[in-house]
Amino acid sequence: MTRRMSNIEGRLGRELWSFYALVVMNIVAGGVIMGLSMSYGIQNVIAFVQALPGLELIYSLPVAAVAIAVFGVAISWLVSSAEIFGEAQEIREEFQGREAGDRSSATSIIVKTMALYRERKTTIQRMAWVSRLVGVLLLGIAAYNLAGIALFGVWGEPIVVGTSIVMNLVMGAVALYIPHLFSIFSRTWDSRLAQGEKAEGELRRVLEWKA
Amino acid sequence: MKLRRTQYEIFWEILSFCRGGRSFTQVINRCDLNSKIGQEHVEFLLSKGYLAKVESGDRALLKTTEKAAEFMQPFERMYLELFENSPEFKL
Repeated sequence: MTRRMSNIEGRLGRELWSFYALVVMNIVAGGVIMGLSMSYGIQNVIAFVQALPGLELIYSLPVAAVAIAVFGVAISWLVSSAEIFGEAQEIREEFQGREAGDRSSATSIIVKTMALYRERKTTIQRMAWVSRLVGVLLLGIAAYNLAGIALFGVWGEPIVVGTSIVMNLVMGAVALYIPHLFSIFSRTWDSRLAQGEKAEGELRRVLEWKA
Repeated sequence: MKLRRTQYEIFWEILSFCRGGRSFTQVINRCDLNSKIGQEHVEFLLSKGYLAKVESGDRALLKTTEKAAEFMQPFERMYLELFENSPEFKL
């Protein structure tokens, strides 16, 4: 195997792994956020139903509404991530089973990865926005909870309330970090697609193809 | 996996797959093409002399010719360069 092919395959392997890890991170974050929002939603709906008219009622209703909205968004986030996961996994398996140093095998994987990005570009951008939105909502819930504690004091077990606020803060930060990684990924692939379009001009000349 | 490929990527996939001789059905299955589009691409590659029809027993196969290298080599060179000369995405 030439040194050049070894370098290309090394990069290809690292990039495929990074993308795969990013998608897995998305699935995990989506799952945790879905569970978190479900627990919040139910907890606050119950609090709303059981609450005597008063400030607690005003507090529970918006949190329950936001939690239910986040739950719905998390489901669509998970479905999109799972679709991309299947495709990324297929390409990764092809890479693992390739003939090392073979130009055609490496080209085939590059073609598939470019096609995957072209196909899923809009979904990836949507996932990044959803993740950003969920991050803001979770941080909002955490801030709202802290404000609730400041106003009404801690209700229930302090350890449970504290853990839930910390979870919201952590998952909110993760949900805001994921779009940053997606934007690096998109920049890399957008630049490759742009270069690919230039390369098409040369291929067109080779084929004397008139579209 | 049916993803959005360019015409040139489909040509390259067909030529790469047909190195050892393949039936038309195998080509459209492997390259995820419908029969009409597959036929158009194969006809074009036959007209360029990049594919040839060969008989294998009672089967007609499509086989990539040596002339196809004039398309496949620059294609592979350019796609490998795309990966070599762009910033890397790494977590």
